[in-house]
Amino acid sequence: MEILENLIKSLKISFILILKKKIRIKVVFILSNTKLCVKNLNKNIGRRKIIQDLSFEVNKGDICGFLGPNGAGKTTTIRMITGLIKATSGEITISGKNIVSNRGEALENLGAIVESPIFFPYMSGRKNLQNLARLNKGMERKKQLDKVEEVLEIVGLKDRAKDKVKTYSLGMKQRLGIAQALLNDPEIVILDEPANGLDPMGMKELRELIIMLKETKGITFFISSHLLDELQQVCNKLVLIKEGVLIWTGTTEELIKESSNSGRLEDAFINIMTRNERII
Amino acid sequence: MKNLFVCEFERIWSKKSTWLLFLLIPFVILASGKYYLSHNLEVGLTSAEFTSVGNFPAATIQEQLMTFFNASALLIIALAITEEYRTGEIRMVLVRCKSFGQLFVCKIFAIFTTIFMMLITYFICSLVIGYFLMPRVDNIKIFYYDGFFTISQSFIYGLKYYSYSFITLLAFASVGIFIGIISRSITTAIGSGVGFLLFSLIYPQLVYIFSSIKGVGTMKIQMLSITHIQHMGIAMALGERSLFFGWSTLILVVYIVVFITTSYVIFTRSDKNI
Amino acid sequence: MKDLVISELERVWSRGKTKGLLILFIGVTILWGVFMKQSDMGFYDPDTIMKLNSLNFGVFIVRDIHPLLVFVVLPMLYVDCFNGEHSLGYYRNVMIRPYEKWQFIVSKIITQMIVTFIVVVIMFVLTTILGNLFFNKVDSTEFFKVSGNFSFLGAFIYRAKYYFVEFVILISVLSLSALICTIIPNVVLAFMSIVGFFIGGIYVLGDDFFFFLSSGKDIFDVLGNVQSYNFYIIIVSFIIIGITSTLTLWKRKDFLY
Repeated sequence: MEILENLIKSLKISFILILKKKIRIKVVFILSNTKLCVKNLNKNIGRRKIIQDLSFEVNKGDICGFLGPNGAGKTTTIRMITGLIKATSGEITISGKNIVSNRGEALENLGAIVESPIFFPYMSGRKNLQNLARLNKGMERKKQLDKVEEVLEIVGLKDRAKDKVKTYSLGMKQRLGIAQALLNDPEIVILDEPANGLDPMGMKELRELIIMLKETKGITFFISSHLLDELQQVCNKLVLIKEGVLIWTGTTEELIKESSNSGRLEDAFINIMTRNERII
Repeated sequence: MKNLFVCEFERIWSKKSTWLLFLLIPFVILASGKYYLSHNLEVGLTSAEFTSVGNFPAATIQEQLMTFFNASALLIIALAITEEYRTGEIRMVLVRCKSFGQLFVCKIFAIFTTIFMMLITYFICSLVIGYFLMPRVDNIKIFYYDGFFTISQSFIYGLKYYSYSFITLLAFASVGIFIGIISRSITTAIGSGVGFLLFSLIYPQLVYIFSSIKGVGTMKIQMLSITHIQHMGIAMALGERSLFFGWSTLILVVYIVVFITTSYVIFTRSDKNI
Repeated sequence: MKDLVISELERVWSRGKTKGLLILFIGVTILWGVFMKQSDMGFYDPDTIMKLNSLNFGVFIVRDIHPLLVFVVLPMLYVDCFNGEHSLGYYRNVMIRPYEKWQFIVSKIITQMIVTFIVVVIMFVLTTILGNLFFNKVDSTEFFKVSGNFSFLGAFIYRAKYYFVEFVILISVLSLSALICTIIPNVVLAFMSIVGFFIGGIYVLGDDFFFFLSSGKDIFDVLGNVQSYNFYIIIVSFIIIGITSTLTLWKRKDFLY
């Protein structure tokens, strides 16, 4: 129902002419509300199937949690979404742009922390961000530098910005990681274990930051984390995978209602993961 | 302590690069053999430069000691010390051993043992490859000897040569260990090690040009370079008159003692990078 | 692409190691100049020598400084750029920026070409100054394999050409280094493989490869139009094969760090 409503509200038809030896007209229906679309994604390494036939969508304004046990393929999926590794088959589009055929445009709308936040240790936090901000397309240098100061303010690192990153604690590097994800005014931000190394105050601040950014800037979030209580507080939608296979996708409320007696996401997660069948 | 040594030794051997170094040995010997076969055409049978079955092991290591073996030592040290230090892998071991000093001792023994095994493998391979590749000559001329050697005498000479070569490699490895511990990054460790090797190679020439009187004193100063000892000093020390045997041995022992002691102190006292 | 290159250059110069290497390189060049003043001879080969003066010193020092560049300074810079940033995970945040994969590696190659050029220019300027400071000032000089006397300007132009050929040789080293770093992810192994490749090549290919260890004689031959074709074939093929293979591999590789 919701999808149909979105289709009626904002249907956008895009004609793409691809000239090879013969002209093919490809009609692509783009739902402008879909910020991240993963379709039939597969990743094999040798004979091992890491991701199998994974499909899900993240719509504008969603804070979508990406859950799974260790080794489920979450980071691999995120690496494919960010174009760091190639999928064996399947399609990934970010704001309607294919990550393989249109990598540059797709990543313009994306900010991400992939795995642990690693920066150039011999540069200061500010210098790292200024260096990365330079790669924001279509932004003047002055605006890039202003953006750096803005994101440092948002994550609360302004007073340590001039120190070399090698002197930062893990929590500070995590916050710097979030800052670099916001540098290019992204429409969608992917966070891989963003609360790693954060103390309870830090986790609370991160939670509030995510909600604030969603409400003020309309940023969509796709968050992979094991801190289910945290995810329960911010995520309206969930995608669950196990051994590279999609187990469940839907709203947080639906999952908890279906699979938890205690009303806690953690119990729902454990219950679903201990079942063998795929429930979609 | 024994278990810690075995643990360090196993880790060195769990790296593919260590196996690759050993696999390269026959190819290095073959390349040397090819060179010596062509060089043999330019020298007479009675020349010390003529390489045959008997003196092939000593001949082949004379050149490869400065390049292949020194570089291999640097590689093993960079992977066993600097890489583990800089990536933080060493932490897992440090929390399991009684002291940093114990770990240091076991690590360097594991490195020295690996280098020793490389030498033995090289010696055996050079015997085999030399037997098939090089011409057989019954009267073998050896550098710094007036008379001729038989094949069995050459074999003994070869054993002595390799033993002394091992001491020179310990000296070079000691410097490499020191560099590996103080270097802030892996590329710095390797680059500095290669830089030290280059400097050692050109140092004797610099001494020669700058010294006003070119005699025994100059030669002794030249022998402050480990690669000079490797290139010429071993042959001179093992020669009939044991030229500079005491001096070159002293230099090598000083290198080992000074650099290992300094490395030990730095490794055990400094914890800011762990 | 321009932004990528500037971003790379910023990072190169931010590293303390880069500045340290340059200072070391300048120091060694000056010290070697002092050493050459003692010997006062420049070599074409061990049997063919020429007295040094203010105009020709700049070309003769290249022969001796070249091994330091090929085996220490440049491999350290190249390995850090093509391999170190990559395998230690630092480059991840850059690789998720909106650029095509090939643009990242091309920007790295361009950056290192610029860095190599700067190193060669520093060497050129420094040796010109040292030539004037340490050696007899002359109005004209000769060079090996070319006839005639070269005036101040002529010698300057000859030296510039000499350094340009040295730069091209170093670009072939860069191309091979980029390829080796792309194939071998471990920093230590990549460095040793680069050094081992050029030294091993001398054992296998002999004289044809020798200019990687000592370029002096071969550059004189190039400028005197007496160089063998093998030299050009090796240089050009290393540059083409190195860069194209690096690009191909980079585009295909998964970035797992």
